[in-house]
Amino acid sequence: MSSIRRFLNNSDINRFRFYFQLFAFVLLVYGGYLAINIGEQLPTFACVFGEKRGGSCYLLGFQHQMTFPYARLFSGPGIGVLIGLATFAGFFIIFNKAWCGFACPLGTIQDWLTILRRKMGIYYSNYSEPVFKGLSTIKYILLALLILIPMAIGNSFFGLPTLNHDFGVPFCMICPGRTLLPLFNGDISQLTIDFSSKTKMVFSGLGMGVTGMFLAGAFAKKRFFCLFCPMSALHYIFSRASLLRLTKDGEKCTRCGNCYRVCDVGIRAIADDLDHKNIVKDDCMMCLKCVSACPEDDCLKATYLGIPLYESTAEGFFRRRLKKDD
Amino acid sequence: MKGVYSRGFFATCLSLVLLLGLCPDLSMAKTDAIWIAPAKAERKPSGQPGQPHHPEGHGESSAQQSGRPAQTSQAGRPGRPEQAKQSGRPGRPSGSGGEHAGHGGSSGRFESEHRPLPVRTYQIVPEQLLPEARAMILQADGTARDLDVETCHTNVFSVKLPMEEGPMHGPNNIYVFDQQIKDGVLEVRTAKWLTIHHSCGWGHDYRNDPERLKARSLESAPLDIVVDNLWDGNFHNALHSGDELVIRVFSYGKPVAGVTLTIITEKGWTKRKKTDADGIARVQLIRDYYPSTWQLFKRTELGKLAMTAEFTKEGASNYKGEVVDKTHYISSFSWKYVPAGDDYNSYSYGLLIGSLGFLGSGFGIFQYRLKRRKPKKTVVFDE
Repeated sequence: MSSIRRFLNNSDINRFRFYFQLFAFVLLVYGGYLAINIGEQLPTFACVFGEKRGGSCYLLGFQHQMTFPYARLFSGPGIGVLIGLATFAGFFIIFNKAWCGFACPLGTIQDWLTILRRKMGIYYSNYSEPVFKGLSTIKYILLALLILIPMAIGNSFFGLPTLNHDFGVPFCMICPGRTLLPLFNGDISQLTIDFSSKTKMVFSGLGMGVTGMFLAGAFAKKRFFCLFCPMSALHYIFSRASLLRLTKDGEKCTRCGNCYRVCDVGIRAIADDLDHKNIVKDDCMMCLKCVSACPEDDCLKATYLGIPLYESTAEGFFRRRLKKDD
Repeated sequence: MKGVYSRGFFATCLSLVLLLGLCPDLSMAKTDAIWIAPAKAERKPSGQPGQPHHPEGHGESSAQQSGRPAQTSQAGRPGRPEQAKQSGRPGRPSGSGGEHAGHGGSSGRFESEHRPLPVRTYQIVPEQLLPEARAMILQADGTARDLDVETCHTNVFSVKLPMEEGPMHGPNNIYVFDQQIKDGVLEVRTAKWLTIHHSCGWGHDYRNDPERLKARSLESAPLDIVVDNLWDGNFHNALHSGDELVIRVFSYGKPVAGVTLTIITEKGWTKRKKTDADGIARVQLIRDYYPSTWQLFKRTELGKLAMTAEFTKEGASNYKGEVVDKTHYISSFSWKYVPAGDDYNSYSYGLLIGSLGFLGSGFGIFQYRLKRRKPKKTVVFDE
């Protein structure tokens, strides 16, 4: 048992993650070719606009349900909304935010752009701490908007007129997943501006603008889009109930800062926070690079149902380091 | 003269006016054919007789959207002919597409594609169906069964649809057949209607199942029009103006060559074609929607089309003890189409805005990094 644990702790999680991401990408983007459908409430960007997807992102269905008038929302159909949310939570609880780090196709595209940048020898950008804090609130604003805008279709707020159905899935319209992921199915139809109504025109224009920003941003900054992702904000609500956890023993931390330096999102708290055992922050994607980069025994660890899966060890750290130096 | 001005005469005149108004070239649509159309009862909640039908047609969709108990009440009263009569407009050929418009005209969907009903009620128009007419359904899973036709009333029949995932989840073909001897010719008529039974709650697993989505032919149908690729993977109507229709015509399950196909759109475009040796005819649908400005454009604008297929088979046959020399087969099918995506989507603007977003962000990042670059510190010793 100890030899298995030692093998796991000495392993290179980044390499494993690269191949797992590839597998998840193929499954979620091309799964339809094998008639695979994991579910319609996935806590990751398995874009519904991709014809051959192997599962569907929950946000589209969630926004769609938010268009219900109050009378429907708080009656029979409301049960359907709760079932949808419970299914989403069920999926999420199994893997926590590792959905982002290991399965999200949009995250994988960002990681591929990072590899491309590295191969081109261009240094990455990072936010300063105040900028990081300011930007990380955007995802909560987007989450609020993706609930409130569809709600204003079926209900009048403060006596204002209701919105038309073109506002139905506002986040999907600006999500780069909508424009980019169908491309992998050979579908270029999302790269257009929709002139069929003014609302559609504005949303599809925003969508294309955000796509351009996504590509430029993800090239320069690792996991650029994850800081703004409303799915990540929705995750955080259920994060504490998850079976997969990332814990930190503050007493063993020497504050060397390795974990912060390797963090793709740039979460400083992972190095600074010595008080909390649960170290999963709202921006964390549980890539476990921090565990891999920690040189202290048992300081950082990923556990499933309390059973350690991957722990930081001095031996593992130096082995990986030496391998890299070779 | 008194008889001329009877109520029946006025009703007939009104029917003809409506038929002609909705189907611009009725002669082309072949009045010999029978058509299936959703009964008006289905489109109107109980207790509201005489409610005017919205020209755009929101019918059951709007009833459902507004939370009215329209479907519940319909479910308990399958095929009430009185309501069909009360609903105002007499039978018009669904080929005119009128009924299509009655099902979510604004949403561009066909019979409320993603809103299943436990019972759908149809009527046969014009109301000349013979007593021995029969109806069948070819279910989404490929199995067929008989349906009851209440010919004693006004040719109304109902189809029960289980509100769950099952053999009817997907596109279902409904058929009505009748035959009679007319002027020494055996007239065999077939009407076909394609309905969808789907709820998102039952899942979209069939989107990758070509068997569930494929256009089917009923082996026992005397003449069957089968149009390929009418559904997309998510059970939405996939026919757009300008698309090529691939129409296959079968007689008792076998392709028939030389059948005359006539296609008419609501706006008057007509096309006649004969099937080839494989029983196939290919017709490119017209693009006929050109609003004066793009602001007036509606991507869900419904175009309606009707098609008939007919051919005459020489040779003696016996019907109810009477021998005839010829058999005339005629079949009808109606559908709808929406504007093509190319009519309102612009790739050039999309790529322009995407490129601007990319270049603008790239420039912004470059400037940001340039600003944050720290100058090299040099230490100058003061000697």
